[in-house]
Amino acid sequence: MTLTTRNIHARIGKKEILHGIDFTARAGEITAIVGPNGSGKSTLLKAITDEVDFTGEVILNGRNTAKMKPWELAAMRGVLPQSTTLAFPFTVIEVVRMGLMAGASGERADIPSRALAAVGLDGYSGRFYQELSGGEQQRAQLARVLCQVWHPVVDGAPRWLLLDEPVASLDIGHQLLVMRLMKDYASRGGGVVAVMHDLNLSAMFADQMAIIMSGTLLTSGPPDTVIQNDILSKAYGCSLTVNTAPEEGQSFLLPHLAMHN
Amino acid sequence: MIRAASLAAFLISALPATAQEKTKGIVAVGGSVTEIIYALGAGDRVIARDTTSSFPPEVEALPDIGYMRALSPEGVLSVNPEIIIAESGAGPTETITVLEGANIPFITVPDEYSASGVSAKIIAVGEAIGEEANAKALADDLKRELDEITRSTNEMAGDNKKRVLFILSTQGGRIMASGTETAAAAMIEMAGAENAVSAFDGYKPLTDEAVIAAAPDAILMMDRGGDHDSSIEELLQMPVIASTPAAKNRAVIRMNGLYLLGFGPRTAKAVVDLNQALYGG
Amino acid sequence: MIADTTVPQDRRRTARRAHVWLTALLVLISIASLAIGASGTSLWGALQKLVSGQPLSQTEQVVLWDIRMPRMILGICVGASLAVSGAVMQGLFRNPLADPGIVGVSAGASLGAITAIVLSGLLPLAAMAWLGFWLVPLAAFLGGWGSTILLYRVSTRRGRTSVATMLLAGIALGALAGALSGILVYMADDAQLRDLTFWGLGSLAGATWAKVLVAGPVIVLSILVAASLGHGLNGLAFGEATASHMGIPVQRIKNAAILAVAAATGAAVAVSGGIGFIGIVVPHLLRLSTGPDHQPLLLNAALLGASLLLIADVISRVIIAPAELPIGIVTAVLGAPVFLWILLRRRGLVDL
Repeated sequence: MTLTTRNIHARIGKKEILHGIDFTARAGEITAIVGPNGSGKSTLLKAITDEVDFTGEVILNGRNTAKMKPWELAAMRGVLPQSTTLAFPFTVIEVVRMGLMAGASGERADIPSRALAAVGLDGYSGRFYQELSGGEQQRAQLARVLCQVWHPVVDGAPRWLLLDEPVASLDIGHQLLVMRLMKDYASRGGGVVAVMHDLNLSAMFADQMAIIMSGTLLTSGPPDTVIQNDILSKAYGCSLTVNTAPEEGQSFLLPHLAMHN
Repeated sequence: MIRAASLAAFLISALPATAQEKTKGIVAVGGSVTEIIYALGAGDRVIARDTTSSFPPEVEALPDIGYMRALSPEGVLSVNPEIIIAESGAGPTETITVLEGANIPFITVPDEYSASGVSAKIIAVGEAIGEEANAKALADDLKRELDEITRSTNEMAGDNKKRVLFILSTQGGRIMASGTETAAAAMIEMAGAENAVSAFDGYKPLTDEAVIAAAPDAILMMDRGGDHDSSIEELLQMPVIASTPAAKNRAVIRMNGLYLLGFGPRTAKAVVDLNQALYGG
Repeated sequence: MIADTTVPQDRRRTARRAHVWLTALLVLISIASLAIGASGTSLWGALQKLVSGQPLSQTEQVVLWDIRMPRMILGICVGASLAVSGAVMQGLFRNPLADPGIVGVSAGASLGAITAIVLSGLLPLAAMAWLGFWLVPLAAFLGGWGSTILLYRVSTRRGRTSVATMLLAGIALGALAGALSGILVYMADDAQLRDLTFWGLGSLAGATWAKVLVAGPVIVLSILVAASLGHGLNGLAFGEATASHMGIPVQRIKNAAILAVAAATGAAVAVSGGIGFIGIVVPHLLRLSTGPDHQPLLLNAALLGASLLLIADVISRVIIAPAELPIGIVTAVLGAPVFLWILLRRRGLVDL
């Protein structure tokens, strides 16, 4: 089962941001969408979730999402936006519980608190969402999204987590926590598509990486095929050197101070 | 017009009862109606009045059922009225309907700003409370008196009629003045003067230029009680008023609102007062 | 970071318990509103007569059945619709200060009422006789409903309603309606001006069975529709995109919310004139005490709004009896200080 886009052209206002993207993510894997600022990686996710005007098709588990009702989609995938402002003083548990009501996860009353624990927010349930720090808010939202698609596979069909920069405002410890959570979700059969900023984290956790450059898909594949000097230098417009950690053969990048010419 | 029609229907239905025994428990709505009832000697039968009824002074002791255009049905019922007599414009319709449902006649008397209008009003009130004979006498006297006064004041003034500007309010420096077809305009004419504004009917705000163009010889206002002289001073100091002939002669006349504009039994006296204030003894 | 405000108890349970308390309160106040009035008519005396099979006196019948009963029912309808409409608008616009005025209902309704009051003299007599006292309510309802639909059309492109456009267009439309009203006010005579002022202050004194039968169903139906929007409005608190990802049919919720509010408020304003403060104070009070979850909130708002309006109405009819104070004055005089007190006491919470 896959999440596939066909020839996506997306525009924001009058400007075309994406120029025909064919992209595929498989269930059971983490697919990281990376690329420089303004490349259109977030727009691609927004096209997949129907938040921007686009032409082309998005096929989720074999069904065209344009023909699905909001509640059918909600039962199949949870979407985490980059940031969420919330009107009214809801508490953390109230926020998370709304995920439970939204998806077809069954009325398992303990799911919200388990989701909170999963994102490292146990003990926060009675706190006001708006009083949390940015990173805590993001994890609370992630818990809500997790609640919505708590079981990675339902009736043999995978469910999907579509995450826009899920670790952007988190400290390193929580970054790892959230990445492991994604890994676990994928390993249990769910699909995870995440727009990522951090190439190293992506390389560490993703099964597939897709590099978006100037609104087109530059390349995609497993991290070790994508994390290459020439590809990254082209995509990011600066020279980068890829190193390999000795023990696991893990590719990583260290930023250079000086530009190569 | 509709009110007049329904009024006629009422009067007919109300007549047999009133002819036999005099109605007690009158609720008087509207300052002039209240005055007329008292003038007909039926003041002791009035049990409640509305906010606009302030004369004779003893009515102020009676329960006040609120503003005549916004009466509440239960408030009116709570004074156990047998009959309600109101100036035209009393209401709202919903309240009248409910009161009719309780078999309490709600009689609206006609209102017209003229000598015959006052006498018609008096006769209507008299019929409603079973004082037909008194009412007829009072109405005839008043009409004769008013006609006589109007004729003599206008004769006396001849072609030198004073131009009078009636000012309703000067809220925020904006002058609300009377045009034609108002009680004030009618009073000014009966007192042998000329209404200085004839460009519109009703009460409307007047621009500064229109005030100057009106060139009033005298200004007429309602007396709201309180500090008499200082408010006249304030008025005269308004730049636009200061330039009028009225201000130069300090000709500002203030009269009690109900007395001046009520069109009730005291109207003839009010006309005389106004005439004297305008032209002197 | 550490000891922020926490809400230890489950607010859902508090909110559900509030359903029971507020229902009891409403029943109590409804009985009081039947029992209390300027005339000495006693509800208990009448009930005793009914039980013992004696006929009621005509005054008792008129006061209890034709005056207080329709007034009570209309008060419940109007209070509930103002409070629920306020809560729905606040949810839709994600702003605790929103009220039905935002979608142009109030401006349109008052323009309609003013038009009817001032221009009714120009109508042919036959039409006046036929419409009678229906003219002002009808014009107010049409004005309120019409301006909302207009605003809604302006803000909807390709099937999507922009809440921001609606807010801005609403301000423009309000200014326009205000100007038109101004022209009519200029044309009005003294007596009509008095009527306009009193209409603007609101009153339930004109309650009749006819009004209950016409406005009641419109209001009840719209409140039922509005009360079903709780889940959707909760989702909208996260913004439209997220609401949609949560499976909420966003456009359908918006359609239902706007139409229900226009109908409920239009009808309420039409039969009672302008009554302020209920729509803002009631949802606010409830959010502070039982949380912002719209599902219990909407029902609680209906109950509390109805109760508060009935209390205000009882006060308005006895405080200067036998005369009556316009109810809009009572709601503002009572509502404003209470509101300020809440704001000052829970300043931190309100900013959230």
